[in-house]
Amino acid sequence: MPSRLPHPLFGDLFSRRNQAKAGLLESLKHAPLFKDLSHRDLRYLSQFIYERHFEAGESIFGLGERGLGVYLILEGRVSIRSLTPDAPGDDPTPRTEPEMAQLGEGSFFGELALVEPDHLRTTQAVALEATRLAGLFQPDLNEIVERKPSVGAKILLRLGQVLARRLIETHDRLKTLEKYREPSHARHEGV
Amino acid sequence: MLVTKGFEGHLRADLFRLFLAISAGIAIVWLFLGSPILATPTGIAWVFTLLLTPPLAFLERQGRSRKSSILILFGVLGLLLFVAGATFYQIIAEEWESIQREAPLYFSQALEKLTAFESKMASRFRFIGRGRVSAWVNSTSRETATWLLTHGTSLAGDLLTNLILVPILTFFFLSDGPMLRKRFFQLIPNRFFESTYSVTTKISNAISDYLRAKLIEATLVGSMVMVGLALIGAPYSVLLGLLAGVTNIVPYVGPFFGLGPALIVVGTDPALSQLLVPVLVVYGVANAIDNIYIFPVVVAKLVDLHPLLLIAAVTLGQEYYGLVGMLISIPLASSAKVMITEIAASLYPRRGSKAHGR
Repeated sequence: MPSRLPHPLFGDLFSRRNQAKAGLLESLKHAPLFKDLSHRDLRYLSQFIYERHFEAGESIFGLGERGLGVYLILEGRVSIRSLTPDAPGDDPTPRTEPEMAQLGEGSFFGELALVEPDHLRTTQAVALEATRLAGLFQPDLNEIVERKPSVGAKILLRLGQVLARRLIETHDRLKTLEKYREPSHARHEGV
Repeated sequence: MLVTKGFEGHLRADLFRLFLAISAGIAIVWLFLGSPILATPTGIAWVFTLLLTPPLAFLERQGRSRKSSILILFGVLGLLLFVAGATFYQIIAEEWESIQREAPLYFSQALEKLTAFESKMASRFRFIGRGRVSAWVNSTSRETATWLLTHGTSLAGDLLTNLILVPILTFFFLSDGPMLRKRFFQLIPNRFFESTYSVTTKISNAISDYLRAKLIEATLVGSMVMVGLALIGAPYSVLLGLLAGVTNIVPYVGPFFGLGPALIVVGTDPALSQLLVPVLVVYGVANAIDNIYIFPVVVAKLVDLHPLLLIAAVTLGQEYYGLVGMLISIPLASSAKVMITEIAASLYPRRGSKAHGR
């Protein structure tokens, strides 16, 4: 049976949309937060995902801004930075701290806003190049939990694991810092 | 390299895009709510959509798709309406026929009593003008009756249009609402996306929670009045119960609107005069239960506004939009509070609330 030729005007209208959806599903499938979801679950989840496009240098969110959800990088790179608004001394301008992380395709950030009510962003995220992000926001996660608890539970379990891992990493870093601090502290006391 | 400062120049363009997106949203809403023929069915369908969302979520939780859940919901509702219609149709039709027959008598007797009371008061207190209230009631009733007679045919036509349009619109709001909402948010510029999303979600939740709570309250009050009137043997218990439920939706003065017809029925018919006190007790008990148990538990928790603000909102609503204004004043006041809170939170973020992580 010969395959049908695409319509000269509208032939690729729907196929483009389907391709975009397939691309989104593929990206979601590889994201650590959604790793446990089946293809059907991912299709359901995709209804709640907002795709956002950012230009190079555009701020995704700033420090202290009210955050509502997590962003997954579909294309591009994102710089995560921490700014200290209360800079020491008389200089009232915010001090830019060194980049904390540079994230690429498949990485996600802003996940704390998914669980904390009225969350204030603790870092700044900036697109380093033309970047496409997929956002999942707290009200939508609540709706998923309400309508499809099995899908919501899988996402929340993964989210819990991610947060636990970050907590352990932070704890380890603090311990390392303490180790470095203790001898000098002791020396000062000795003096 | 951090280049966010360059984007301050985009602020004007982003504000323009935000303005365009909001204008497009308002234009679509106006298309439905601005035209008289579409406004009523759209409004009713929207209220139905809000009310049907929780049972729809329940059906989806059972593993069904959204479309099949909506179809099941419509099927169940149709069946329920059919059963309720078959059960209550006879009673309501009989009560309606009787009230149509007796209404002129009730009205003239009520007017006579009002005129007599007015004359008595006017002779006792000279500063009261004679015949003011009764004349007003008389003229208003005549105008209403004339309006009903002249608009009766178009009212019946509107009812038929609504009966067809409301289910269709409700179906599409339920099935395509989330998709339409998503399309709208895709138009919002990045810089305003999260704040717009947060505010609209909170406003939508505030309005839908309030309307659902009011409907639960109205159903309970209506049922209590209906059962109470039936128990004391008052006539038109079903119709008066339905009326008490509907008028209860209007805050503060609604219960009095509901009580009025019952008082006219038992107050003007000498054969029913012994029911005057029991009827007052039924309405009093129903409203006491509403004010002590139902309202604080079901409604007040959802409306975090000072009572003075509530009264001001209801008064302003009545002033500008009459009964509809009184009904929508509280959810609108809640929405305004949400917006002000969100704007204040973004202008003055909490201090010392640095969470860990990112």
